[in-house]
Amino acid sequence: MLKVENLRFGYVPSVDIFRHVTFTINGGEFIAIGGKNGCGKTTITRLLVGLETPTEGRMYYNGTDITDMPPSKRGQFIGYVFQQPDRQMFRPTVATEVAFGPESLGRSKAEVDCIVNEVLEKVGISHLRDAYPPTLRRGEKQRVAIASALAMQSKILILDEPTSGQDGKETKDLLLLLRQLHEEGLTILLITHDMEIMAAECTRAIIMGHQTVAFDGTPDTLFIKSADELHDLGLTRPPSVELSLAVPGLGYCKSMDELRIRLLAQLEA
Amino acid sequence: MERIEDLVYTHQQGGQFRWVTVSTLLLALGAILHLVSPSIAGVTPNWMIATYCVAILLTRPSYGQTLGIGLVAAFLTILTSKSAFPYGNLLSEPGGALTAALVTRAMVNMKWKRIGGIDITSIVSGFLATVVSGGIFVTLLWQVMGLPNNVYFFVIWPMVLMVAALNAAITPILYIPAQKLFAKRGMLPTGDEKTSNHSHLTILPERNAKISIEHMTYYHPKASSPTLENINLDVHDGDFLVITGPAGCGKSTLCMAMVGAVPKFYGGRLEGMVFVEGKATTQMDIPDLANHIGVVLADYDTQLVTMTVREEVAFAMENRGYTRDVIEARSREVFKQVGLEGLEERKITSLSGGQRQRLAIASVLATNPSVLVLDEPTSSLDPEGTAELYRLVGSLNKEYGITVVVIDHDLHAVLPYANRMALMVQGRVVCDSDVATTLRYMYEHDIYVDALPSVFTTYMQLEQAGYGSDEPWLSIESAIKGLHHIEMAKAIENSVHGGGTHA
Repeated sequence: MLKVENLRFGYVPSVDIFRHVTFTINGGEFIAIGGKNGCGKTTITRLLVGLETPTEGRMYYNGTDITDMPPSKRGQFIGYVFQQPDRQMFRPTVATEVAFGPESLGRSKAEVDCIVNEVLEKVGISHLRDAYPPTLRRGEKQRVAIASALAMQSKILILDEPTSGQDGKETKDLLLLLRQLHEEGLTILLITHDMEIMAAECTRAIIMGHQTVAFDGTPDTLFIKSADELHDLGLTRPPSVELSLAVPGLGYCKSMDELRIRLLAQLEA
Repeated sequence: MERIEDLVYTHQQGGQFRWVTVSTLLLALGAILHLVSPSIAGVTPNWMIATYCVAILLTRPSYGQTLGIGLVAAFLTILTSKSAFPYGNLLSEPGGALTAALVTRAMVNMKWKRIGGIDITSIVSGFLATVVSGGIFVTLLWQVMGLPNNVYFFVIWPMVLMVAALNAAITPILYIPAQKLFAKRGMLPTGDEKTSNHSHLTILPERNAKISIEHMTYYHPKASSPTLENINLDVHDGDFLVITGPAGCGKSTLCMAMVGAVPKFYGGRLEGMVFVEGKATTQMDIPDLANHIGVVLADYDTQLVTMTVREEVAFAMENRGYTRDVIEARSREVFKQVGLEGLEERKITSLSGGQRQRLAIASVLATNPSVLVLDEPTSSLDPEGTAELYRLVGSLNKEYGITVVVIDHDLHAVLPYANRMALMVQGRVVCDSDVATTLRYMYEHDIYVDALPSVFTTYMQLEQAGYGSDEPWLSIESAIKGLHHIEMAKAIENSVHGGGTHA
């Protein structure tokens, strides 16, 4: 669906953040993007939405070259939730904020209202429709940003570290929403440092490192790599994987719930 | 000696200069109206007097402050006056202002201040202030300019009384909307809050601890229900205490009470007492407390004030008058403690978030406090930064003997270093014990379970299913040990069981 070929980029002309970045994102994937600080995780997604232009390489969406397409156009298929979602809000109420996208596409007022109601309902913030976005909690702001993306009928949603600094409840609620949207067919790219989320939620992990894509595959092939290799990429094994390796015969467990269930089954056998 | 349960300390935060704001706005309005006012049958109302009457009615200033308002009004009138002898205002306006203040005070408790449901204080003070101010002014004019007596008595005085009558009408017209406007913005004194003074009391702690919070209840300003309720919590020398709880449970407020910012910065009402090193916080100033307790705020950037790293650490010591040699030696020491050696000359803006946080820690450590309080230190750090921060804080605790109090909701990273954990729910401490006991309490009472590390939750679930471990799973290592223990127990059970069937 979205294909990038041989991307090269650097903020300073002589220093590349990464080069030779090639991957294809297919519809319905739930992808984690990980790696050390400063490895270019956020930068690669900024290239995808068009906030930066690659020094070299091309990007294609459903076969069309979008390398030179402005971000406002790409907004029709890629939605982005910034790490600080306040930076993407500028309208006085949640409802008008979410309406901005469809309005700018020239839709009629009735259509816009209908879309706004639907997406606010979907992300569970209908009760906040008249709230002033800057006064919301971060978790709520994220939902406004997600609603804005859904209002544009985006096919791909990118979230930059949505769970950092959140408490357990907020993280859980957000993952629940993302899982639901994923089931409804949305493709999700999640930049995250959280190994438990990467292992338990995602169908694929793209790890940036050594100035390129250092790993691209399923989380289970990633986390059975040696601890040294993972450390080199700025990763650690999530506890469920670590523990499942300690019990012979248990097999790879992507989450603590799975570990518990399998362990109990093994013990009861 | 006071009983700690009975102690009450209220602090009114801010507002001591609101009278200046309100008066300045009104006097400015008075000056403008003075310049543009129409005359009614040759008589012009004195807007300046009317506006300072309103200001005095609204802010109830002291006599000293009243005199100040009067003098400012005088200068404004002199600048805009068309009179032959404008300097008379220097006496007349303060006189009028004092009259307004006297009338306002005198009428507070008078029965006849309401006529037909209307408060007539503004009418009376507008009239009398104008009579006194105008009287002083025309008397000076009469003496200085040598006006004929009959002009003074039969022309000028009736004019003064007519202006006073006009002012009696316009003062309430200004007063009523101004009162509504300022009251809505909370700019008027409410009269029920005062700042207590505990300096004459002998307050001794019941318990002996580094920080002891005893029978403490705290109300935020204007709050009717307490933010913190009957808190009893001690922090002992060498402790690494974690305070956790759901959002809004009061954990940050509790941390601010330890450093004296509650109630001395936030205002409000404190019952009971917080003791730091045996001294009541209401008898100490925040800067004195800072010698004992260093705080790093959740938004640590707000506490960095200088340009370079070196200056930042020196700042607190310079303020306390340390000598140059001591500052240099101590700076070297804290840079080593927090691992910022080699970055001394860097601009603060060029540091990463984690480095700035280390710098904030270094700058509070510089004056050698024995307790370090960190409010949600990891909320803006990634997991790598979080682990690094707690390694640092753990080493400050272990190697340098600094007592640590951490407020956090991200528990798994801090657990290896903590020796105590307190759980707060809705302003109360519901559990205060070692880490494993508090985590177990959270799980069993279903409080804030989303914050529990997943490894610990699994440990509890396995235990409920009948597979207990020797020790709680607080880390991967202890979990692996526990898993092996469970496997072993099962293997033994199986072999015993298997042996039984064979026989």
